[in-house]
Amino acid sequence: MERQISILQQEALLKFSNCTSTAELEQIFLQYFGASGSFTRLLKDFKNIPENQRPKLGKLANMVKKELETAYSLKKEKIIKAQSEETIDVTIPGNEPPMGHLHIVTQAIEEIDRIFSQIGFTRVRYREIEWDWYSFGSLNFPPDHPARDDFETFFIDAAPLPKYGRMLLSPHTSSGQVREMERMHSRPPIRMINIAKCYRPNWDISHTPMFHQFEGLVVDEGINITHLKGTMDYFAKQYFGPERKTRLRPFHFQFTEPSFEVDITCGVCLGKGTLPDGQKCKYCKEGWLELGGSGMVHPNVLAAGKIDPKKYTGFAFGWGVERTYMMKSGTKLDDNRLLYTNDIRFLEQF
Amino acid sequence: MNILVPDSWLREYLETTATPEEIKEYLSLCGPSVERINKDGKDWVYEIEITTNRIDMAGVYGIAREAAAILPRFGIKARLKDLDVQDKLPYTANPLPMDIKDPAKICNRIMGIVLKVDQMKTSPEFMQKRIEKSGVRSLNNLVDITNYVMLEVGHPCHVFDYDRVKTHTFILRKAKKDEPIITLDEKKFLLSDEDVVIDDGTGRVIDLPGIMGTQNSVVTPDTQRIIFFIESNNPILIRKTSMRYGIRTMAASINEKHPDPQLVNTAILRGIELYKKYAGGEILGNLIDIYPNKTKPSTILVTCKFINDRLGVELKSEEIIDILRSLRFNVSISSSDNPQPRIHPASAESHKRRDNPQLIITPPSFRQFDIAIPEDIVEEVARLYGYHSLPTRLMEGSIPISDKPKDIPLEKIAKQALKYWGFTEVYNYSFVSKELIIRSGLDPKKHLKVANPLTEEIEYMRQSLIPSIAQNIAFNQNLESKLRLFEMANIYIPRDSGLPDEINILTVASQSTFSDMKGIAEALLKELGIVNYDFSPSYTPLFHRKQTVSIKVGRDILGTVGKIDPQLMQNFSIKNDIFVCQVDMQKVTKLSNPSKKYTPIPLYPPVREDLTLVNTGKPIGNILKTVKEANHLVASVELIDTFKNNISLRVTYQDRQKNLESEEVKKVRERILNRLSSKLQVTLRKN
Repeated sequence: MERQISILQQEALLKFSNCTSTAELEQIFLQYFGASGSFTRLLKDFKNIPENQRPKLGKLANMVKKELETAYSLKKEKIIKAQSEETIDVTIPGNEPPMGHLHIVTQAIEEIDRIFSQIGFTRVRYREIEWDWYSFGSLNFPPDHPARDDFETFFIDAAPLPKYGRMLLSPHTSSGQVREMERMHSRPPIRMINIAKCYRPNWDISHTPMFHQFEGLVVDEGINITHLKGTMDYFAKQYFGPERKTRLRPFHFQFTEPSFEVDITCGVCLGKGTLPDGQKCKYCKEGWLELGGSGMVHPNVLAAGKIDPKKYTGFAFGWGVERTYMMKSGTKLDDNRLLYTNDIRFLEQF
Repeated sequence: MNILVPDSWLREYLETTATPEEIKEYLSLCGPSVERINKDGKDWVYEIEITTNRIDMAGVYGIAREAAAILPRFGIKARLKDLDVQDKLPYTANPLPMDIKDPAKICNRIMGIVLKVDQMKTSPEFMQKRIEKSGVRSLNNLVDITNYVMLEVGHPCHVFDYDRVKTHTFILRKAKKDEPIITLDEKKFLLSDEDVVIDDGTGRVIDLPGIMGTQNSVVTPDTQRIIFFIESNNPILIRKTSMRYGIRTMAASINEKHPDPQLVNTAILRGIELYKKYAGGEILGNLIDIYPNKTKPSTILVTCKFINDRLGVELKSEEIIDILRSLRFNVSISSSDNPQPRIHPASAESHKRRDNPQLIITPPSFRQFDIAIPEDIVEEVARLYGYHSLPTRLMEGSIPISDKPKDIPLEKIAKQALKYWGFTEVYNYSFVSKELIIRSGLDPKKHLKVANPLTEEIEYMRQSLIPSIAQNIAFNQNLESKLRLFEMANIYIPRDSGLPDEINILTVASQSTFSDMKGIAEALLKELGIVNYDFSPSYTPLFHRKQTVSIKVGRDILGTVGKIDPQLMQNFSIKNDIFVCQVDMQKVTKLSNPSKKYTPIPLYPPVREDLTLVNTGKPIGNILKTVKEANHLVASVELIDTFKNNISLRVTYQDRQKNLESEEVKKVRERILNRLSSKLQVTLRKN
């Protein structure tokens, strides 16, 4: 028995000392001291040895067990210490997960949507191919308005309807105003944000025949210009930054009255119009950038959506997604057509 | 339209202490936008944007009038000086013959007068400078005066050589189809029968009224007598003609916006005065004025409360009236609006009521086409009070509750997932060319056609995103050989009647393998909450006939996964195979069930084992299905490897009630192997 203990002791010590990982060390320890470990089994044999030898052997066994336990702990410490000293070349490049890119129009739309949803706007999307009625007629455009000219709006080669007029490619998201009133069964409150593709026959360095707009429409009792201002300001501060200021300038649109152009202070010259070196800021007009149009919904538009303009008032705004994004990021594209050329060297930058 | 207004000229009519900077800033806030001010010698020139409804401001005097109303709101003194024109012309007893006729009543108003003039010369320096600063080229005094009047008064006018129109007759009429004219800039046009011309009574066209004069009637160095002529035109016809021939003169830009016919009178008198002063002008005839249907501003009734409700502030009635009067509106208070007797004159309530008078408002003549409804009055009050002076607040009312569109959140999920799986999003035009449709093997006739495309490239509305993506791949393939792209956009399918179907399609394309793309489809459908779908071989146009499956839920075909037709690849000169997963997002939205069901986590450990089988050419899908359906204890089966005709599967056995004994596992395994061999002749590989 004494010899057996001694053999186990030598054997274990050797294994401990050859071992290189804590997991392996754990394993070895269990080989001896686990429920069916060899040392444990040896101790179970005690009942078979003469009673007078038991104290001596017991003392020996305890001593060996303690010694092995200490050796185990020391070895463990040593291994951990060694692991702590291990080095690798940390300058090796990382293994990136596969990473694609969302188009900047998608990114802009998501951010716009998020900002407006925080103040209770519901995002919708309406038809791209529309009737004249929704794009013009219901929006207070008189029959001979120039917006219906061939060089202002794309038309579809299809038969017009007596009630709705010609089929066209919606030139603005405003076509969704009366659609939204109808979706809401002409029952305000309405807080819509309509983001969709729009089309106009312009194709040059700063225009593409397809583009995106976002249109806000709020209709309720007691809506007035201060709410329009508040909403514009909220969006501008959330989207462009709290230091930016907005202003309204009188303007003219068929479907709003009063109508405004919304300006925001320039992010480059910070609204000063001049740069620190005294040069005129080329990015803006005297410190201001035009964000887009807005206004109080014209009573004829509410009436077209079967909403009583005596009881309800509203405001609306419709801005270009691409333009708004460019103004934020300062990504002044030298050619807007790049957005729809789909050159991966462009797409992968965003 | 943008106009240029020299500061020195403006101050001839505007007496003010305001600096050019102040004028720029305050006009922009309350009136027309002054986009820039540019220094010109000692002078400044304002570049001002005139909106279509405010053509009354398209001139020096109009801007002065507006500034005189706006500047005092900022505490700056400003006064409008009258445009003094002598309105009593001497009667000419023996006038030169001159006959103007408008039998079809094409014009709102026509005025004209015959004058004797000195020989043509250059204009006085001040006049040359002013019109040139305003962006108009100085030619000679006879023509410069017409431009000077237009720039100052805001109404276009024209001068003819009296002796070159031998009939001394002007007849306004519609042009004949293809009737030729040569404009005074020596360009030849063949007219349409919608254009308006002036005929000299012999069939000869002597003017394209309101737009541009013609070569044959214009003043020359030999001119001795002139007809100074102004007409108020039909704005719609002016616009059409001007756009049809691309003759975008300032005259056309103003006339197409319906200037006040009253202004014709002011302009002609101002012109006569200038001809007398700077061209030796002598009146040789009486003033002709054809004005069959005088138009008048309409009177609008509006309460102060109506205005204040829309402004969001409480303005006193006096302030509202002051503002409107400063804009030259005629305002009176409706007499029925002062109910007698007042019971509690001191109470706030009655004060409020008292300060809500109904106003009877008549805009000035020069605003007659622009001001028609109470909301127009709101705009006038609001802009003069100043949008900057109004508070800024968000809506207090309740947030609308409605069925929110369900498609938008699902689209976001799909796009985000694809981005993180390494796909790059593209946005193509919704239009395609006939050439692209044909190259893709589709039929242009079935596509919606744009009636007025800019170019052939954007003539048709696309019915598939695949040709566009194929184009993107062809364009980029030399930059990257294994492209991974996707697009989500509408396709447009015509219907027998009514608007076309606009179907939102997601098309994912990758130059990898079928399994890779099928995996994308499976993961995507899982993310989108589509569970009970099947893949079944199918034929889909643009796809490979034998390497394509449809994604089906019941009878609904949700989309397609497969290789792109080799012919299409060839037509686009694409080097590496494209695999596409295409999904109809509308159907996905309809079938999506995003809610997840909880099943308790098993208490007992599963048993896993790998089986290597010898396949006899059977579809692996069928083998997997057979294994999975062999027994309820088979929790899952995965394909881990294939090598020649060997396939390795990892089978997970699980009993939710207890620990699995190896005897039970053995029984299930035997059952699996029996089924495989009897149904599919697939057997366990013998080592």
